[in-house]
Amino acid sequence: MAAGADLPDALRGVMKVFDGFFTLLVAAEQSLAIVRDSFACKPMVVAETADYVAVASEYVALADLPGVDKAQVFEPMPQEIYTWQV
Amino acid sequence: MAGVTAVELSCAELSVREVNTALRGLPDGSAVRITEPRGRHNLAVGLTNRLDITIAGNAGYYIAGLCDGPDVNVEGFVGWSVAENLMSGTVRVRGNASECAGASARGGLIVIDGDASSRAGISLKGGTIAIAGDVGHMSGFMAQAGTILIGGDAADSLGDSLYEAVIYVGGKIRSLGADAQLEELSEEDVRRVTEMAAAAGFSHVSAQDVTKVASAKNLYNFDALKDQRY
Repeated sequence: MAAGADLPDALRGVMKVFDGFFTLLVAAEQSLAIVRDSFACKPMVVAETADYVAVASEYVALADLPGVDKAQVFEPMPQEIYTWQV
Repeated sequence: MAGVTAVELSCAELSVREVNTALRGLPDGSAVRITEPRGRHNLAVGLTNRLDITIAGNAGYYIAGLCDGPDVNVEGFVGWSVAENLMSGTVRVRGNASECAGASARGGLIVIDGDASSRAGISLKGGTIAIAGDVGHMSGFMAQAGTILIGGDAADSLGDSLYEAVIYVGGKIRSLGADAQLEELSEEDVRRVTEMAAAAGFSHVSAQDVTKVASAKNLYNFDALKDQRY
């Protein structure tokens, strides 16, 4: 990213280098990104509302957030890069 | 199963261990409502009594795992490994299920009204898993016996390294796993799918139109008598 790549580009580069199982949450100054390895062996769950994006390994950690009942709760797909801008 | 008593157990007041201890102590035929689950793990596990259990909300990992008797109904979504190692009874999830739904189950009926994530039915050893929606990648991985019915689409590597389990898919299959193959539907297959869809309450599955996936048996190395040779 120091060379000018944006966060999704940087994570695509990471996926070419990383081997094995991983789930990454990466926060940059203006953006947030998540990605899982191709097997999606490590758990991750996302709760997204108009007000916030919350990420955890288990829903139980999100269950008491305000408005989570109306949040879109989903598991990221393997090898798919999800990004949000601040 | 019609309940003769109505019991409410609140996860806001009881620990998971206390909920499961209370469930174990109930007589057969009891109807139980577990309220405010809020993603808690291990609810209604290891039960052998014939209860009618409703979990009123979203729940966590291993819901109804290791059970041999009760019927469990989850009014929400569940985390990893719902109904893992199920022996008998019915587990129904009204929402989506996370990874490994029905892992290593040996019997019973598992119904997911929504989608199931990756590795649904991994190492299945018996019983039936019926998923109304889609399944994630590597579903049916190394499944040894039993049946998986998928009403929607299957992601990559469906049925990788299958043994005797059979998978029926109502929608599209993105790709088959190693040693999985498509097979012609027989009249017996149509009858089985019709029965499963009826048991699961799936009106959107047309038994004549599903795709059957079974083992090609090129990687099939399972010899039950091998220990006798030592």
